Amino acid sequence: MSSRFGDMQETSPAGAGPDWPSLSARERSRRRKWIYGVSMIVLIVVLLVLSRPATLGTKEVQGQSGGILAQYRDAHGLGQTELGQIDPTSETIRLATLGMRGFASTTLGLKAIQFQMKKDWTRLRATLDQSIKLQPHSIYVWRYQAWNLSYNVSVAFDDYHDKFYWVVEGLNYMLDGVRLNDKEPRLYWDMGWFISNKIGRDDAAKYYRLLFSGERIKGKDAPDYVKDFREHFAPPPDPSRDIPGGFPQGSNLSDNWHVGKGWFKAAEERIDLPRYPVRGMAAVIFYSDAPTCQFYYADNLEKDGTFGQFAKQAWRDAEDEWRDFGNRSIDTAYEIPLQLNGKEDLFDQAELKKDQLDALAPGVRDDLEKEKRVKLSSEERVAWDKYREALNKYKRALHKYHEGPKQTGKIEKPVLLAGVEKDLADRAEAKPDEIARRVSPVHREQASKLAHEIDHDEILALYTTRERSKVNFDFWRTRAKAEQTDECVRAREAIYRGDEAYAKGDMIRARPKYDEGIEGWHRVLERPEFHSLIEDVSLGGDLIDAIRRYEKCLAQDDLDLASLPKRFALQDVVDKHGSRQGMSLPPVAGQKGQSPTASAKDSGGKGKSSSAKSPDPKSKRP
Amino acid sequence: LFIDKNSRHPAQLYIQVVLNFTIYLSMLFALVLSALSLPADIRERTLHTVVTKPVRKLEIVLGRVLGFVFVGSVLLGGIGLISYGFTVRSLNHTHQLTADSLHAEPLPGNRGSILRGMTSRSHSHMHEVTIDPTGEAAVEIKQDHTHDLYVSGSGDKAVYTLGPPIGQLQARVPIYGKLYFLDETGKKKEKGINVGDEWAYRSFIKGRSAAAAVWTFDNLSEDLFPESKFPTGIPIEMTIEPYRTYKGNQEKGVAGTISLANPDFEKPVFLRNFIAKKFATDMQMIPRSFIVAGSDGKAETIDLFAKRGPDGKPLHRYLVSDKGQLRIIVQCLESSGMYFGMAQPDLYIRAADSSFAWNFFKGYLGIWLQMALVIGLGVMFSTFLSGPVALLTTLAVILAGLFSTYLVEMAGGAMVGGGSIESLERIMTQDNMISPLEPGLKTNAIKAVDQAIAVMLRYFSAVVPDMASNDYVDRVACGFDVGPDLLTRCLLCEAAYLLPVILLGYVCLKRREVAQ
Repeated sequence: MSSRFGDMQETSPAGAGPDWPSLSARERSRRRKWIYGVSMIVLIVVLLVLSRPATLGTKEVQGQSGGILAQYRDAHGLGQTELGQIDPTSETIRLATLGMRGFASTTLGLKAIQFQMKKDWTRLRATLDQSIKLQPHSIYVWRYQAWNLSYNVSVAFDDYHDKFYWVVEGLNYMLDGVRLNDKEPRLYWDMGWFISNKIGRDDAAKYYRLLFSGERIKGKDAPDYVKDFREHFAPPPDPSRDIPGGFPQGSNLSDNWHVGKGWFKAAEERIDLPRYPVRGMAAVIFYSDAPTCQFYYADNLEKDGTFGQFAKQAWRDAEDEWRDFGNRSIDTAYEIPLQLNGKEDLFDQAELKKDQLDALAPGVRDDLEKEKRVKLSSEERVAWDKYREALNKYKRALHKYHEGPKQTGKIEKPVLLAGVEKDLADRAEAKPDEIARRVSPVHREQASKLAHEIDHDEILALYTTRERSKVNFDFWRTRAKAEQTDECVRAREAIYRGDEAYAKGDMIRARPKYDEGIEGWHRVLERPEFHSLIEDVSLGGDLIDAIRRYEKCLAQDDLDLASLPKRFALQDVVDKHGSRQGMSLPPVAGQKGQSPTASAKDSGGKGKSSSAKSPDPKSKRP
Repeated sequence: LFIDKNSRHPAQLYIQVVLNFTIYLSMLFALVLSALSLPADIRERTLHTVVTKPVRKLEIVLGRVLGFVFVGSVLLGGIGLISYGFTVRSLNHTHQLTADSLHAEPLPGNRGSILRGMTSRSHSHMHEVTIDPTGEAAVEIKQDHTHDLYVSGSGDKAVYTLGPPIGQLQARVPIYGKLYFLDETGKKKEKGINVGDEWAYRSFIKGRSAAAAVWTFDNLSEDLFPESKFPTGIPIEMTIEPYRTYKGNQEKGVAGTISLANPDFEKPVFLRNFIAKKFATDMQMIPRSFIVAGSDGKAETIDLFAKRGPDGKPLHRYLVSDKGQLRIIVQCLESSGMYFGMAQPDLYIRAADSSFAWNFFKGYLGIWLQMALVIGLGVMFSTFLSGPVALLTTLAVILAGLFSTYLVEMAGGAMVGGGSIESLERIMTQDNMISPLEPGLKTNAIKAVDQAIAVMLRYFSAVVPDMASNDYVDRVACGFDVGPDLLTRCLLCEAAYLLPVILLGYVCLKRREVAQ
């Protein structure tokens, strides 16, 4: 033993250990061991303070918050249990990779790209499952790969059954992501988007919606994968369902738009600031998706042949939900929460305050505008006068509304006419601060305050207008109102019946139905409050499709739209959307609003009009 | 763990997972055992007891390799038996079918009615069953299999029993032909049209034109397809990829036509039309004899193989030439906006079906070959390197072997974005992979270094083992037989590679001073 200590003394380099020359080697060794022991105890205590796990409380014993790290984890929601369900397989694999998780998941990701390129779908799906087990809380991977399956892989197939299988595979993949990250709103939103928009608006939407419904098709049961997927949509009170809070009452779970709406609502419920905000999109768009689904639901009800009170109720619900959405206070990029329904009130307030300002400085506005008017061109003066006239009308209605019963009489503030320079209002209108500067000193402070408030209200109204335009707010509001009218429901039904007859090749029955439907739509769109609907591409596209079928019915009688003796009832729609839909017809001079039925009658039902007759209807098109 | 039971191809998935798992396990075992054993024995001096005996150094190396291969074989045998049992048992299932689940559907024209219904659900799927008025039953193919249906009794008292799955585990023996294309004008081409697919594996032909894909099969004879085994004709299987440039009729697939031709006569004979099934295998039969409308409008009999009269002259027109050649021509019938895509292996004659168990064994034989290669390399490196270094070196060689194709591409200078230094430069400067580097001294230097690396890689890639050549996982999983040609070639390559490796190990050990 002594020789060993002797060796140590000889081989120990100078300065390598503690310098205790007075102590024997045995003493030095003992002292070192003490130091090591004490250091270990100190480190264990520090470790305990830092990383002691939290414990759950029971009825008898209160739970403990754990060490500093556990508290920090809890405060910032970083714990595994905070993120969602824990998958034991995933945890095991992550541990088994021994810190090579990043390398492994990258390799699997590259393999997945190769499999996709080589169209080896079975192995692609298996690789994605393996890959995600290594990174179960990577939201981007869940989102991207679910989208990849539902949108990219599905379109690689030819048969719509196969396509839909892969759409559902994407949804299944996303469902796993939701289970493991059940607090992440964006995954719920994506589920809603895939179910509503991918299924409802794909080229093969007609088939997808039918398959999604889980109903028997042509005597055949729904496919197994659809049944499996639908099991996840069990309505409350089944605790196994994937949507917390369940679907809104009255949801039609065989309809993709209502199921999608349920997921959008669930996404809204998951918003929990600051940890779970609306990610990657404007809040106004995020909150608009659930009520928009109700519009599409109502629209598709009628496209599928449901009319009458049921359809009207669906549109009424849509209008109510849109109104609720308009009343919601929504965060905006301007760092001011806004309500979309608030635009009109903001303009009204501003106008009323302008009146108060004018009362403090009688005649100043007119004087100022006269001065400005001199600098305007003659065209601008005409445009400005028209606008002023409309504005005065609006103000009169506004006063009437505020003085009388408030349910009626209110109209919207007019906008400057199209084609007029954008800064015309800036150059022609008397600004509140300009008026305030000319107010007598006694009231000037009050006038300045009013001018400031008017500017503030108008800016907020402008911001609200911009936010509204992001979600086509005005269009949907008007559409919901229009669709509830009897004319509109009848027009839709007539076109549907026309389509039914058309599909059977029965053009004789189809044409009068189309006549009735087109006339009905004409009456709806003619109403001033609904006239703006003509601008919408989606509605325009639907009408153009119907008009095309109508054209084919006309062709049976050697007629076309241009050869009708009177102006075609939906000529405005054709002019607006026809060219975009690959249809272009020269407008035919005729009396606006003439019924197509009348046209047909005038032409003796055979359309042998001499004025615009062409032997080949197609020859007129460019 | 990784097996999606709802997959549309569960057998493929099971076999791939099981075989790949075995590969990883056996490679790890072989790597650790072969690389660490000899250095440990040298360090512990246990090798002295061997080297002091009259034993040659070659015998020591060979003994190690053979010993480890034997242990590995026993291990692989055990795993193989378990995994075969696991795969077969996991996929084996049946379904229930009751009289209540069938409903009658009348056939038009008072031809009776067919019974239609769904089986019970098992292994995440159900089959649709149809029984025609003659009692002929058809069970829908799902997840690559169907079942036999046995019926006893009749009417409401009928008892329906379904057999085990058929067609899920198979080992098809294909005969491949050589493919060439005809363009829209009917001119012979090596390749078809590129429709912009990233994977240029398949070439495409345009619909409703003279464009065609023509497979020529050689060495066919009636002996290969005896009437006793192929009474109705010879089966061909094909995977044709339809490609649409416009939506078209979504309820209807893209139609095509199959014609056959005797290369000696050239004039093709129409066989039948078909609807292309994308990413699915479609089976078509070529009858031994069939009737077509001749050019004069009269019926003409066509024989697959020549039938000759007593005078030795053929009785009818025949398709397989005297040299044993047959042409199969595929065309797309749809309008010119539709295309068919195909590669050479996409159409083959299914000559026979081998035993799946035997094919599964051959899959394991491939793994065994890979394991033996790793053991040989591990022992060789361990004769002159310490344990951990030998282990890492063997691992590096295996990894290089797995990526040997990539190495060859790099060595040949065929990589997009240049060699390794050029790629590094592009990454650092965030340059794209296509535009040429700015000319100058720097670029010249980069190119020179890359060329030097390419030369080194060329030599290195030549000595690295091609691990992928022994990998039969995909063949077995996709239901194709691992043929004797492939096996023999792999065995010879393996022997040719292992022999110098063992000799190198012997030389290294001999030069080392172990107990000398």
